[in-house]
Amino acid sequence: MPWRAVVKAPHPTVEQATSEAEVTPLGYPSLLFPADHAGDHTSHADHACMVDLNLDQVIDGILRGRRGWGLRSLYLAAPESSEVVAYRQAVFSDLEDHGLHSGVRDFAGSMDRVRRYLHLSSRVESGFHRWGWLLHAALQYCDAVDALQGELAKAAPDSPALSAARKWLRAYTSSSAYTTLLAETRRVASLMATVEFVMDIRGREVEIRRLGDEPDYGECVCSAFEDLRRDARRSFVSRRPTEYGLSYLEIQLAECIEKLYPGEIASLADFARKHADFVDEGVVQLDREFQFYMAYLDYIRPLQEAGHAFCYPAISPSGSPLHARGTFDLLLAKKLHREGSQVVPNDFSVDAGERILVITGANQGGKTTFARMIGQIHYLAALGCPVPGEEARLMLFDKILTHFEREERIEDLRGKMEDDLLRIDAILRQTTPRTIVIMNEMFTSATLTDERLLGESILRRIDAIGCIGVCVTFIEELAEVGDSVVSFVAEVSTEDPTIRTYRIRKRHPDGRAYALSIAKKYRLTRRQIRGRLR
Amino acid sequence: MRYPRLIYPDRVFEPQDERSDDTELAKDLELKTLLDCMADGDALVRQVSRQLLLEMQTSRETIAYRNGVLSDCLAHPEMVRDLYSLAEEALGVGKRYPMGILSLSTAPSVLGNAVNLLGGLLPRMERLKGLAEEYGDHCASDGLGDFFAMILREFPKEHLDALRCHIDTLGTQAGFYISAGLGPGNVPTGHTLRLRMHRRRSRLERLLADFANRLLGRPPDSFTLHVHYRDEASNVALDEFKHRGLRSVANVLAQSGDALLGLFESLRRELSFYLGCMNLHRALSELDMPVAFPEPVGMRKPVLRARELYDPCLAITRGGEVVGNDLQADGKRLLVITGANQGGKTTFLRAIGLAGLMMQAGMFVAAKAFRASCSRRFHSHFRRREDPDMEAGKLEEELRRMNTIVENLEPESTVLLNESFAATNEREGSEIAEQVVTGLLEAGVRVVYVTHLHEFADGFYRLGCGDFLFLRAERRSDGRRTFRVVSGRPEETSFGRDLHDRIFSSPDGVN
Repeated sequence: MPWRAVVKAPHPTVEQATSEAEVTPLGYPSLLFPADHAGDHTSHADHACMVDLNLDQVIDGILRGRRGWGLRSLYLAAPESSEVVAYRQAVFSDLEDHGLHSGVRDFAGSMDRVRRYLHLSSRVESGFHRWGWLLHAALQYCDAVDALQGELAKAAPDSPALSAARKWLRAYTSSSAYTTLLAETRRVASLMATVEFVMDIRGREVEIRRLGDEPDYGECVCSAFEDLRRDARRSFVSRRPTEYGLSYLEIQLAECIEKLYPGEIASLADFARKHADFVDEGVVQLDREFQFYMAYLDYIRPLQEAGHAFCYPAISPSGSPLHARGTFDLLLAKKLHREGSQVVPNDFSVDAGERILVITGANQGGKTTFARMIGQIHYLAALGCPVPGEEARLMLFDKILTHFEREERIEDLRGKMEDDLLRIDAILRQTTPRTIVIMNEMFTSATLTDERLLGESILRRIDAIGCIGVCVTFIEELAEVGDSVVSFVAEVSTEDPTIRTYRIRKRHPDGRAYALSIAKKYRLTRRQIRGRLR
Repeated sequence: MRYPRLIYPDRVFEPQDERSDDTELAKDLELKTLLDCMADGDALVRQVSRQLLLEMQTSRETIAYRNGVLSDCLAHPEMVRDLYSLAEEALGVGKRYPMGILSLSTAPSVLGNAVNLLGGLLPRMERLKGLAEEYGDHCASDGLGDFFAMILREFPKEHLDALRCHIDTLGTQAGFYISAGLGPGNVPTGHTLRLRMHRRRSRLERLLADFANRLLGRPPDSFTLHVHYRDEASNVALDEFKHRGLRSVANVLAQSGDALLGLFESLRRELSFYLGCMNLHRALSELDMPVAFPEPVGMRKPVLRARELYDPCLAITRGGEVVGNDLQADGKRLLVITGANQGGKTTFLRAIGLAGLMMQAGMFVAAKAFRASCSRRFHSHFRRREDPDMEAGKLEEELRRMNTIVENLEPESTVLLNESFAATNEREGSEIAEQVVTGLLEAGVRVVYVTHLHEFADGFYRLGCGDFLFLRAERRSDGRRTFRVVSGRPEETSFGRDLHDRIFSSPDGVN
């Protein structure tokens, strides 16, 4: 039985090294770490643990369609400092403002295009097209930078991160490097806009000339038929994007245009020589770090629109009470949302003196989801993200340990159990009071007595360490192990015990939920019988 | 251009998929017989008529609007048939030049197809205009009148001629003359079809001009390229160039052709309903059965008054010879019909239902006169004699159906109950019936209930409520049925004995 762990990274990871390097020497502000926390330790997530908590799928979903930025490493590194969490929460909260959000999204889209155009420019062979793509990239780049600067100035964000970014961007856009680029780009672009030529196609012979005063016949026909087709929506002509510039005809065509418009093409070539490398490193970093935030916000937005609550959790020191109201499993909510239904939100709380949550109740009643959810929201909270729920107070952890049963072949029960116990023991030795341990149905293959014995013993040890433990089990006695243990029960509908409500309530296990509900349905509970016989 | 609006004053008719929740009603009222007669083999007529019969139009304005169009159609049946067959012919042209097929969707091929299609449709537009000129003045209804006026207004001769002229030009052009500018990456963009202003220069003329330019040190003004037939990439590029240059023209022409096709399609759809009405009208007239345009009143107060109301389906299957009933049920929210088996109770219930459906569809009704309040919806709950699902238990099945009805119920609807809740003993059935009927009445729903549940019927009778009406299938003292329904207190026996006696005493019934 595998134990998986989020263990503290012994050395700063590559990402932290880069972000550290980017912050100080060049003076670019980071959106992810406050200046004095640039080298902070972060928990580096173990893959198997992320799998147990379904966080791997959540992160896959968040990063869908965002390949280019190398964002995964940012999501796999959870900071351990509440200052970093606060720093990021402030950025998230600024970006939830609609205007700024769409401004940043446009910026990202533009930067994406800049990269694509530059890539094209580096790929094509003919100078004619290479210069063209470079010019187009520069146009897009200037638009992107100007627009972002305008958005940041207009929104005047409160967060330290974004106000630093705004200040830096203002300085950059007034630098001479940028203003020269802008002026040159616009001049050459307007010159190129004057190039227009005609192709007279007859069979396979094509004559090419400068455009004269030939009227637009297409327009003429279209306006004659405009009345008829006014309300048409359907398009009958397909778009066939073919790759341009690969044929001999197109190469010849480019040569003809160069000869028909020599002055314009010379200016363009000159521009390309001077501004081959115009993209600023600071803008690139800003773009990437924005994506960390945007990816998450875009992921949760459909859920928010469907009425699911998200909140910024307060961070409490370890050992103090924790709670979350109306929270849910993010992946499950996404899945149900796609299917057109809603996830059932649940509350959890750990009050003073409580540390171990034992979850019992109906089969398939949402117990595992509940346990997973506790791990998820803590992980997301540590990243600085808004978490599912109306309100939450959570703790930062040094690691999350998970133990989820898998379909594993058991040849030698005793040997395997011994092996597992040794590993559990080894890992419990690493557990600190700041750890979160999540166990799902441990030792289900053992006999009931063994399972109870081992479970109690492990809970006692966790209790002694003083960390937070979450334990999903059939064995209701585990809820009685000690004062620090608090019981949660997955409930069933009182009318029909076969209907699951997916509600988990903090209460004592009653051991008779199923029988009681059946009895109620047929009006045969003790109280009912007494009432009917009166 | 506006598509004809013969069914709604404010919009065109959109056919829908069959609504499954109405099929109970269709089944119970034997709508199939009516629709078969209306359709006369035309599937479109059948589909549209079905949809409109089940639509339950509650706007009296719309009902009157349809009555107007229908009157015009009944007065000029040849006009309807001409328009309908012209529309079918135009749709035939459309089938010959289909568009929107993927393999044909490059601009040059779409353009070719669209030019052919419009070449076929524009002459039919001229014929439609001819019909509009011929009948425009004879149509009193807004629906047809506006449509003809629109055709005459929007398609003056010059306009149609201009369109045909463009189609001819595009149909006879040789080669393409396309301009472009430079877009992102200096890739040609903004391809535009241009009208050639000068004759194309010959090769010799081009050579001379080139030579002259070189001599004078001027840049050349033209280059000629030849694409080799085996240079596939260049040929693709050339096709792409043409595609882009012709795209918008091809699309506009295709959309125009599609819009004209849409006009004819819409015309055919809107007319199909009236064609159906005409078929039914002819059938009933041939049987000497009376029909009348009804007088719908608002939904607030219950009104129901009829002279010689009969079930048209029964008239069609029997070939006439059905008994009409007079009915005066103004102000009545509950009609309870009791009396002899085989006495025409169900027929009477169907006649009420069908008259309501036909009235609210904008048709004539099967009666000499009919005046009734509109209903938001009709629901029917007929006892299922043959229940394939034996497991469920008949009463439970009935209650489940009733539950579905109540789920979908709105106030100002009418519920037709036919021997509902008779699957259990009379006491239980009456109890349920009382619960259900009281609930429905309190919710503002009108109820017509054919029942043998004497305890229920007589209980309600004894309440002496002014807005209840009690009717009985008439039986003469000699036991013979008149198939008339008359008002009167519910009677205890259901005269099943008569039926029993008749069958068992007839010569072939004796074994």
